[in-house]
Amino acid sequence: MAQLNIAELAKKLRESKARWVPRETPISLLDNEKFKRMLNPEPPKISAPSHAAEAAGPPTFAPSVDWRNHNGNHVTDIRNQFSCGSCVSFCTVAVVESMASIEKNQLLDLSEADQHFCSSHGASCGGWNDNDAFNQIKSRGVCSESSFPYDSAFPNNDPGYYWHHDPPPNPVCHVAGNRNDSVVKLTDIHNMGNNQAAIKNYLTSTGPVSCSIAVYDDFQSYGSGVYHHVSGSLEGYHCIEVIGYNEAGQYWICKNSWGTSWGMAGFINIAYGEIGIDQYDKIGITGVKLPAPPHGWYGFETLGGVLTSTPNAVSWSENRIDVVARGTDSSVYHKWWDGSHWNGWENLGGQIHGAPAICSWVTGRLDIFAVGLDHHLYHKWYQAGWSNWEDLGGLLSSEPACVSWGPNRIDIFARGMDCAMYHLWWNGVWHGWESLGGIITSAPAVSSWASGRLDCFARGTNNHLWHRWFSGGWSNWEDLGDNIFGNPGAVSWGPNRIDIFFPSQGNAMYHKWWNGSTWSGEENLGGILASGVGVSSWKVGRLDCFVEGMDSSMYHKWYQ
Amino acid sequence: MFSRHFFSVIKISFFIFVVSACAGTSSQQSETIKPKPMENTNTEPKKIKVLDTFTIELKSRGSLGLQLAFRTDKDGIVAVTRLPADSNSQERISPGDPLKVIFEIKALKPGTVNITFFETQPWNKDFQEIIKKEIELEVVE
Repeated sequence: MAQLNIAELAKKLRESKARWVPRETPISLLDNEKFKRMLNPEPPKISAPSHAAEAAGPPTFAPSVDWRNHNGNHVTDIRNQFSCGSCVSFCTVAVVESMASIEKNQLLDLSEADQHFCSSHGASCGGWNDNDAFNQIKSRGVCSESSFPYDSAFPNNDPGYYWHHDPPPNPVCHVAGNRNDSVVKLTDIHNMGNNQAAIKNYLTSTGPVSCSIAVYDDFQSYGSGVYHHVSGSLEGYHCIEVIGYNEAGQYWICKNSWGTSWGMAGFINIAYGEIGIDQYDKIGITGVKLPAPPHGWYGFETLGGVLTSTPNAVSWSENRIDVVARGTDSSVYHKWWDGSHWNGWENLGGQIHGAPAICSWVTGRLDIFAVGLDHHLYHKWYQAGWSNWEDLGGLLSSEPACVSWGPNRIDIFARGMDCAMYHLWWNGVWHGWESLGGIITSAPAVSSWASGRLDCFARGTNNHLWHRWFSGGWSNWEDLGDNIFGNPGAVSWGPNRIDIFFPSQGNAMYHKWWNGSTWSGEENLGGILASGVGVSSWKVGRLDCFVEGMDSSMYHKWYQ
Repeated sequence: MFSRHFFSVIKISFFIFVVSACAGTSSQQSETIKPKPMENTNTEPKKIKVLDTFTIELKSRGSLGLQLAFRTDKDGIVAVTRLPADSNSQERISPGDPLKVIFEIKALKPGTVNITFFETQPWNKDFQEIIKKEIELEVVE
């Protein structure tokens, strides 16, 4: 009296020596009629556009791959699409989550609702295709699940609403106002077509892919084993994440989006060649772009080394930092961030007192200044290669500080033997030393927010932070009041902005800034410093501070 | 020029018109007792002759893990057959879209039978069956 019969399916599976078993449940309806549904003998038609498949490399794939255990687990938890035909958003978001784990070591929970209801797909439970879906993530991104929880798209917050209600009403797109703070994008889409060697190479070397399949009745009853289609009618088309394969067993390993009570805790092994899995395009993505973290301070992170001075830093362009410090052998050492990795330490030689200073007037140019054992100022520069050390003379009693306000311009400050601040500058030729007076009890710091502008800072005899600036002429010394325990560091990320850092109470790192109209109070940034603070900035709103910790390692704290 | 099936459809359509014009009240009463089937369009006949056939079209939602099935409360009065998908159809179906499914119902012997089309998730014991369509059919000589 009914056509649904799990017992009959199990019998068919036994007769066909199938490699999988169905899940028996009380809902299996009893009936003596046999399955009457006709198999659909024709290959299913789905609307995924065809693309030129990426060329296969030589078959270098592993015998088996499962990204749940492939240099760690890179498959996020099983989700449930419930009563909405949003499988394409579930499978594509699953691939992006996997790639975020593989490429960025970030476990993300992204919003299938944002992807399905707020993209070019539109707010409905209709189907889609994975190529278009990935292109939407590439162009508009997908936000975090917390910005738009799946349940909240449905009437009564019930994702099972459409089990018993045909639309309308449609689900609703209503992302949080801070969507942009959590949007993840991708750079590249790789369509491997149905080239099996290319797909296995990709799964071995790169990560999971999406794939469409045809869904038959017996697929719904899958419990465990290697699924192949035995019985039942075509019920529709579906999208899943392919997370691996097994050559010995001749099957693909796939993640579904029907919750954990289906299949093997939500996963299925599908035999090669079954239900269109080897017929439809398999698509992967690379180049996951994570959202910028919220503004705030990060660190301290340890960057190693054994330092005997303040580490000083400069940025010649975005995402580039060069840091110099003195090592235990009194030589200058160099470490740099290239946008993705820290490099170094590189030994730049020399025998110096105190900390070296570093500045840059153009991308690819570095100028390092340090006080030699003879109290002279020494200079070494990098421009397609390192120069030798150059003796610039002088007789100095502190570490130098330097800054460049434009091409071919360098300004250097240091304390002289009379405790006054002295100035040396380069504008194609060297000028100085010029005495700027005062009695300073620390090395000076200097920043420049524009061509022709210099701001110098040092500790005075009252242990306060003092300020003197140049803007067409030199100001008098200004007492900024703050108590400082060591050498300050200063940087400017743009016009009318100065950020100063110094050790103060408890040898913690303190921060004070000029916003164009007023000086801030002191901000305690913590830590226990064994040195002054070196600081650089590669763009507006970005600060990178470097200090020597109590273990003589270099520590990094940054603001973005 | 026209197939026998075509004439059956004409005959059934006329019958539907007559039946549906009289059936409004009882249909509303039944709604207060049980949920309204999702695709009950009341376009199917209430009475057909032995060996006559008619078809109904439903949507299958396999991408949601649903099986579309049917049951009858009596054996042998009708034969219900799910027709194979039209391999010549130019309709493009996307993953996640409902799939059009056609059932043919053929009268075998006189009697009254209830046919229920429903969806379920066979692996999910807690799933509440979705009634897609219910037909009470009288087969006459």
